Amino acid sequence: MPDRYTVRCDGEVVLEIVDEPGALVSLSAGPPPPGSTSPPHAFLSGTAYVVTEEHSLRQILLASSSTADYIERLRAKGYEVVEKPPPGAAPAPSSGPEPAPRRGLGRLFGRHSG
Amino acid sequence: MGTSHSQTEADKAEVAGRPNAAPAVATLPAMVLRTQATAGNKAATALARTLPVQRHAPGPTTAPGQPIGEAGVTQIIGQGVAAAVSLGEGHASAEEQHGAASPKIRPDAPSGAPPPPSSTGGVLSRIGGALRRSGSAIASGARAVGGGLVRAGRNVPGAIARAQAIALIKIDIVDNGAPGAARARTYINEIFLSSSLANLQAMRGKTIEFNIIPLGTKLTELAPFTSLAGTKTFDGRLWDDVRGIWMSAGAKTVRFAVGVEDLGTGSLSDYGPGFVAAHEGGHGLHLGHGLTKAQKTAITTAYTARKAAHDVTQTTPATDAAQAFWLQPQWYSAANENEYFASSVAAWFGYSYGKDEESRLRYTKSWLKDNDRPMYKILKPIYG
Repeated sequence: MPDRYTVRCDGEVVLEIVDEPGALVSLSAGPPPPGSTSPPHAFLSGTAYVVTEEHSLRQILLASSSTADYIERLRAKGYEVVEKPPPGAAPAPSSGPEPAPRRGLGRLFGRHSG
Repeated sequence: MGTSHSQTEADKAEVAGRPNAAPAVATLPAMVLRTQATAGNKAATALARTLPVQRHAPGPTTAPGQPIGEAGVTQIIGQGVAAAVSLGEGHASAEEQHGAASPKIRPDAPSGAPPPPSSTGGVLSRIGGALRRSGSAIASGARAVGGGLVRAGRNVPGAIARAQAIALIKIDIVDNGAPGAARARTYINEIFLSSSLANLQAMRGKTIEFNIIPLGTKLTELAPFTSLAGTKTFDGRLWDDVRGIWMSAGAKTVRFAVGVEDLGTGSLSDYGPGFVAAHEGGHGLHLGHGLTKAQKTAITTAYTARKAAHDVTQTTPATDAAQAFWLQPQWYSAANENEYFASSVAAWFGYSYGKDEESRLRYTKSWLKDNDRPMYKILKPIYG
């Protein structure tokens, strides 16, 4: 079972990642159009939850060489990264039961790295 | 400048225009109720004006044997409706009780009103009966009045509760000068306002904002999304070019934007008609606090089991048997429980991902029933 991580910003879940190659998904944007191709990412899969954080999360990912490197870079940017229990396991006390409600555009791009 | 179509009574009464579409069931009962009650009152009023009606139903203001007049007839009907509402509250279903508490409608009943009869139909039948006994010349008309009230009475509690819940959800359609506001309203009616009472109550106080992206206009040219200009989604698409988005905007607003070409009115989209709106609406219902905690837990359970049994990724061969267990694009629906649910909502309403036959055959309620029973069992109580 690959390791899974929850990424938070100010306590709000902004990203969930799995340490295995797979799909990058933006929960806010619609599915890719029929006929389009979307190759799996080289070393992780993940779902981004917050519109206003997606660009920053992608920029950090593009600069990363592995999941461990990505996590380190996320932490350096101020994100909280917590390992998540596998599906069906009891949640760790620090991981919380579910993603927090997403907030709006008020703090748009506050953490974007450009 | 675009037009903001805020919720009106006419909006609420709008019925889906899509062929084979279910009517806007959330609003129709209230509309029917209003019409029938008005007809009943008018008939009763006319009755009182033409004949000295003997009161046979108990009441506080008229002694037996005296004409009750227009006010009296209206009062009897009011008592009947009040009793029906009271009974309805007492007999609220488990589902209705599951949702958040909402203010009760309890029409003022005169002091000394009779104890509630044993059934809603009984109350209203008695009203009809009283009217029938008032004179053979108007017997057929009175029967029609009584029958109409009985039929209306059966739906009174649920219709009132739904109308209450819907009244507490604000709908704001911003067309940005593009056509399609009626279609947008249809999707909102289906995805949000046709949901169960518990779900409607979960959306209490929320605003559903639906922005239409005109042809030739970028998402990031619309006021709520200008700050996204030049930035990318997590999967690498420019937000400027994205034609479907949902997001929370503050604690109480669920905000959408959908390209006008994806509203099902033209052939300029590669998606099936209505898919983007329905899919994004499914996200809005799921993550915009339109589901109960139990429903969210059930989605997690269903997804986890399906993923474990029939996992599909972008590298899974198209011929792999697991592909048959997910809605298209399979890898996307299998990516997380949110996409799994959102596409299932689109399937429930028959809005297919693509225009091809395979997609149209899979994005149906019957496919869910036959091929994804756990999800069917989640959606059935929500949409009936």
